[in-house]
Amino acid sequence: MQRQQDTGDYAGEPDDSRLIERTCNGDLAAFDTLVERYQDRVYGYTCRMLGDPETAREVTQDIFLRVYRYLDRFRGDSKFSTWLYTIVSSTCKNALSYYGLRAKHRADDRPANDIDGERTSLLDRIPDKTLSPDVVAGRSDIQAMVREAISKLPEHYRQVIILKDINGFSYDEISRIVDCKVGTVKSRLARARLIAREELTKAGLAGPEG
Amino acid sequence: MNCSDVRELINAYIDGELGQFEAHQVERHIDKCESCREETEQFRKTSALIAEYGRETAPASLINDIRMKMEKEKSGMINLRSFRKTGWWALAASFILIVLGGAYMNVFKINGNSPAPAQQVMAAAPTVVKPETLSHAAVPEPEEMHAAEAGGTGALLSDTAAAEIAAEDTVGEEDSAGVTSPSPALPAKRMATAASAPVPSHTTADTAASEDKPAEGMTDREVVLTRVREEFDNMEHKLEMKRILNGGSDSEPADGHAAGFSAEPSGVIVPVSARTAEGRSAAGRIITVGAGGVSPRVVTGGFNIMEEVPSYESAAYGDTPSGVSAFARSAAAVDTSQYMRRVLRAEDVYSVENADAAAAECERIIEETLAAAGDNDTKYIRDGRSVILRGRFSTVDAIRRKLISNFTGNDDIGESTITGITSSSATSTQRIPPDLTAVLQINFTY
Repeated sequence: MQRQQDTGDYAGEPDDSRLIERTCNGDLAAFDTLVERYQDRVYGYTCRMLGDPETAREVTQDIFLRVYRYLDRFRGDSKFSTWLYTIVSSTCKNALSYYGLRAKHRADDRPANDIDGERTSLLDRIPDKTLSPDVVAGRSDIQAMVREAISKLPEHYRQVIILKDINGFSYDEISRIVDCKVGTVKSRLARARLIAREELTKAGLAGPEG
Repeated sequence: MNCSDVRELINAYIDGELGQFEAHQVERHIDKCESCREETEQFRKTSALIAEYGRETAPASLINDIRMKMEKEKSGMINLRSFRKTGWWALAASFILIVLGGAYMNVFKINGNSPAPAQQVMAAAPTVVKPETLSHAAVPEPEEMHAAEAGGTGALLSDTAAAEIAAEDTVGEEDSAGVTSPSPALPAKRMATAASAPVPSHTTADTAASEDKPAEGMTDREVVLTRVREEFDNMEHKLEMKRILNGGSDSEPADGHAAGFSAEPSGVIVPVSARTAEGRSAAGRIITVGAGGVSPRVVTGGFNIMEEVPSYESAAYGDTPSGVSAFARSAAAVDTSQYMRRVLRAEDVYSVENADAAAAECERIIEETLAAAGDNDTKYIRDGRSVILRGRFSTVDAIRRKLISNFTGNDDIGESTITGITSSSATSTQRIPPDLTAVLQINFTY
């Protein structure tokens, strides 16, 4: 298992703060390095949150443009990755609002699910288009099933599980990115994993016999 | 520690988020309790599966796409930042000058003092007196003038101007739809002839201002005062246009078509005065959308996508005092509907011999096209030589093509497409969805 932990330590390469400094001094190559360093993680987050690779790609571009535009305002009070993900998180949230409204206009009249008292909104039921049939049949069944399980999570559960399990942020960092208390992160993550586990069990990937 | 306690802590335990003491207690418990051990393993496995299979690799071209957009931004195509720094101040300052100018003259009138020299007022409020429009100034009867002054033109203007500034300041934050100025030099006479939208009745000030009278016997000060009142009238009229463009005074179209998305009132129409010298909108990033092949006689801006983002950007990325936490709070507090507010906007200027006749012809073409299309959601308003059309992109685009064809004879206009941020790369294009809200402003000049 290879987690994309953000340690800020990149052997043989300049660290984030050095790259930021160089970018602010007009060195675009330094910004390219920053983008290269984070693009998979950011794209992964937007993909999982938005469920549509094309939209995720646009939103990821948008995110890095904003980062470039406002990089000089990063004061270094926290890790760059935390600052970056506040932008990632709010941009995705906006995108979800937009697509959620559009979904509403498509007259989607399916009844909302009720997961443990928290009604899932339309936003939470956006199908993950990365799950194209060829992906499911041809490449990796497990990958498809895991992604589907993630896509079925309500938005705020999906967000914390992605930030924790895929991006490797600590609870404290997630609380700052999502702007909620650490306790909320804990409870959301527990609920998220419970639901994901149920989904994966149904798919035969988890559970006592999984 | 019992099973119930442990299960509450399992996730924090596997994430290494427990303190040493708690972690030790959990370990001791799961060593003894098979059920909790199994539970722990299940969560560990779930977490591992998600970590392993939830990842993505970014498209290879992503970094190039970002680079291209950065270059575009750098070259000034998307020049929001400069306006954000200075534009609003300049706009606010000009309104304040108008207000002060109005109040200044009012004080002199009430006190019976000698009138302020016109030059002084003109110097103080250059936006009030425009030589090119002064010759067309509508001058009311003396008693109307007196009534307006007694009612406190300055105060009236002050309130309205403040509301106007507030409306502009909240662009992108509130649900207000912004304000449109139909043309830089708005004719005093009104011809609000919206096809299917209700036209609010004119105010007394409107009626007074709409009667063109010769400027005989008027002192310079009175002429200036008249211009101040006209400015007020224009503001009032802008608000009226805003109501019409919103499809009614307070309500949205029932099915939400005209607004694009029913829960969202509308896009924002940027006042002409709020645009930068490059003709770019101040309300957000703009991406040029091409409808190429038009005649050089016509100045067309193409359809632009406007996204309301300034409040989001300035508030969320602005001077938050205490680092990321404050940053995140402000980001969460601002309106998160920027993506809902996409609206296409185009502005065409036709230079024709008889601008009034051309505007009337334009109105006729719009009426005919709307009737033929049976589109009740697309609305328009004509104001002298300016026409604003708002509604479904498909209808607005069709009308635009007819107008270009009619006035230039050019029928060879390429399909309107979106390039830039909404496409996967800067070089690719995509079709514009017919239901997207579009605003077309047409001005006829000599």
